Amino acid sequence: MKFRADEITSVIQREIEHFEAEVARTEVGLVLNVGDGIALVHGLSGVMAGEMVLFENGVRGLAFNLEEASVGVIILGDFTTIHEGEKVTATGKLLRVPVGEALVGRVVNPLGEPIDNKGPVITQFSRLVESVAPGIVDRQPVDEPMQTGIKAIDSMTPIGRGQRELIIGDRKTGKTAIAIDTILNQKGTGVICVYVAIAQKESTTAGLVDVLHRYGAMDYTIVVAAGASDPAPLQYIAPYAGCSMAEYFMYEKGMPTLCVYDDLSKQAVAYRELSLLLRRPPGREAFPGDIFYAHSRLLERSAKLANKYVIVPAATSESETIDEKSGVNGKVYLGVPGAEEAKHELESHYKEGHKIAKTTTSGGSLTALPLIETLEGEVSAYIPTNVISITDGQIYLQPDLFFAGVRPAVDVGISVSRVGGKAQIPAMKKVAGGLRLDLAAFRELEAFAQLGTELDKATQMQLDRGRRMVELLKQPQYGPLHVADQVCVIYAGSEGWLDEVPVKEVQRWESEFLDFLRNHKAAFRDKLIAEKKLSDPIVTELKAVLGEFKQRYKSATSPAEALASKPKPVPAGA
Amino acid sequence: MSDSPSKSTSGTANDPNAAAHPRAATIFDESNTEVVAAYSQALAAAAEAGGPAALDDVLDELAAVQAEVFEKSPSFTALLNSPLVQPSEKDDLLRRAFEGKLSVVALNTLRVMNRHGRIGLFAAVVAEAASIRDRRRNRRAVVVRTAVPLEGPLLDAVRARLAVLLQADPIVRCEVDASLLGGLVVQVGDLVYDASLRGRLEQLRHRLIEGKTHEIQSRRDHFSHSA
Repeated sequence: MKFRADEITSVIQREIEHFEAEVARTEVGLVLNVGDGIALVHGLSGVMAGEMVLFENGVRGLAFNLEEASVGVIILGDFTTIHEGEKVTATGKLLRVPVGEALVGRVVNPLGEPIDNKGPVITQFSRLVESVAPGIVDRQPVDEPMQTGIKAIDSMTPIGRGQRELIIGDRKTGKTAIAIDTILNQKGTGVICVYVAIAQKESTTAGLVDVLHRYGAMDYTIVVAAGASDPAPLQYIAPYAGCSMAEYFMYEKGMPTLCVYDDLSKQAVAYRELSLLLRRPPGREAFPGDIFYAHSRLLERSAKLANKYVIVPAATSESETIDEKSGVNGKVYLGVPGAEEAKHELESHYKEGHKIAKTTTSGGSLTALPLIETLEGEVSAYIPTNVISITDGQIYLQPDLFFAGVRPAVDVGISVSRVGGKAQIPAMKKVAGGLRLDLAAFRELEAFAQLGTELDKATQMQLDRGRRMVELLKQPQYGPLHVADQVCVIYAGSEGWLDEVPVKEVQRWESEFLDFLRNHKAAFRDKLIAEKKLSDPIVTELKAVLGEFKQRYKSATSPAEALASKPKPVPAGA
Repeated sequence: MSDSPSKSTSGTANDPNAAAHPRAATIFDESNTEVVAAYSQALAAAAEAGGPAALDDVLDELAAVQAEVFEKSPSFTALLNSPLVQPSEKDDLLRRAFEGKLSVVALNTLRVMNRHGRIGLFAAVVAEAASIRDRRRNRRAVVVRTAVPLEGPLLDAVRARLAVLLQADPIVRCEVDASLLGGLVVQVGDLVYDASLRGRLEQLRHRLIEGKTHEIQSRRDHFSHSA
């Protein structure tokens, strides 16, 4: 890289010439005792709660407990080189992290310092780690889908942009896999993803970053990692820092973002540790009294921000940057009521040559996917119930399903999304409508069928359909599907196009059908993607596509064997 | 905390090891601040009843007891702190040792603290009572750090200037820290005013790194692209 050294010299020279030193006024204290990421400091009488302080070794701390004669500080870094009697300086600032485009594709610690050996993060922007969540007027209802690319979730527990959907389950049930697949599925959608790894093994995080690299997901992802060996204060602030990095894109750029907190139970444990060390009174399960607030204030920062509208000349092109100053009358109209007002204003004052346009920096969103690990499926423990009550729905993962080979092991019976169908494209809403009920009916019948009773044909049909649907909802890891593909596949399953395919072959059928759809019927697929709904012509065409594929599809087993593979063949005419 | 040697900050002034060992001092036992506050306020009030000069005398006497007796003969201090010895015996001991040598208020302070089993907080109570006196008389403890020793008219000038700025009578304690290079650093309570050369250079360094990295980077990119 070529650059002229004298250019840099001139910058420095100018700076030195214009440098006017002021008498620096700082507030200091002395370390009384230190250990386990906590320091007790005497002095600092004017320090604010949550203010950043600086130790002599350059490590930063956060004033956490303001007591009569001392200040409890959590140490965000190496506390082994801090000694009793050392000076602590107040900075007068709250903790901030660097944010901006420069962080995308990087792996950083919770303070925004790079840990991926790719040089410094150079950005001029920073945001407060703890910031206030947007209020009612700044938000709008969640109605845009955040596609996870996972059939079982996008069809039955759809997630909207700005929603907070909890992923909960025992260890090793595929919680992180769902979050990673969701990140992989955001490729090309303009969604910025932040993955916050809290108290995870460094090897796990390294493996995960490698996966994101291999699938090209690091181009739009920031990884914030507080490893298992990092001090508890760093693990505690990690989700807030990750949230701030996503907020930059939501507030400043109007972009959709996705934040994965993996996982909040470990963050709660880290917070419990430092609260106990700070001698805050313990409550249930020894967690501090404000553990609920610690999670609610974090998750409340996820939002779908209201659109802002301005009246601009009609000649303004779509690609142009429209900000709040672009309006011809200098007014900004906020949210749905604002849109109505703007329409009224446009009709009454600007008859010709004007239009209403959304500002490019408004309407951003932050979707949160917090993860919670349960012990032995115990969802009534303290932290799981807290986070369940904060979030807008939860995806339950069951170990039995996981080991039975149903992966993702989503228990569709108890997983919910409180935003519901509003966050689905119409086509998906249509095909998924009966899916949940069908599956529920299947579960009921399945239990009944195990008794070995003779079944009538209709019941047998329902059982067979159910088995195929369960098979169809299975999905390999790192294989998120486009929503159009999901719609076609679920449509085929629920309309009986798979009834003649042996259960064991459903996954092969699916992958071959998707290949066929993408390679030979790309035009139809594009039309479905553009139209987003199953209108009559689309349905007709889809049926034709399925019919054509049915002709091509060759079962590995002969039809007779296919019949034999059914668990309970029903004699003809029964 | 209390078992570490009570090396007070004042010892660091001309201590050549001061810079090498930043672990200056254990300040106080923060667990008993309320008790210390109660005893020191009572002590100050009782002594001041005899006039402003009496307060000074009592505090001087008690400081001398701390420095000359308690610190120099640890066995005596250990005896006073020992729960094995009856308070009445200790009281006798105190009376025999100090009666006639100390003023009544000073001796009574010792005896009252002994009777309540608080003799271990004696040093802290005396220090706190002295700071109460300083607050009442509008005196402020000020630490002035310079690269070279501050003497004569220069020190007077600093003191006079501080008196005007603080609107109080400054009790100046000078410390020498060659690493400051020049200028001076003034500490009043928790507040540090840094007008040293080292501080200024640090500020300049900080500003160059923080403020100009981006500019240099963008210019470098500009040149590398145009080249």
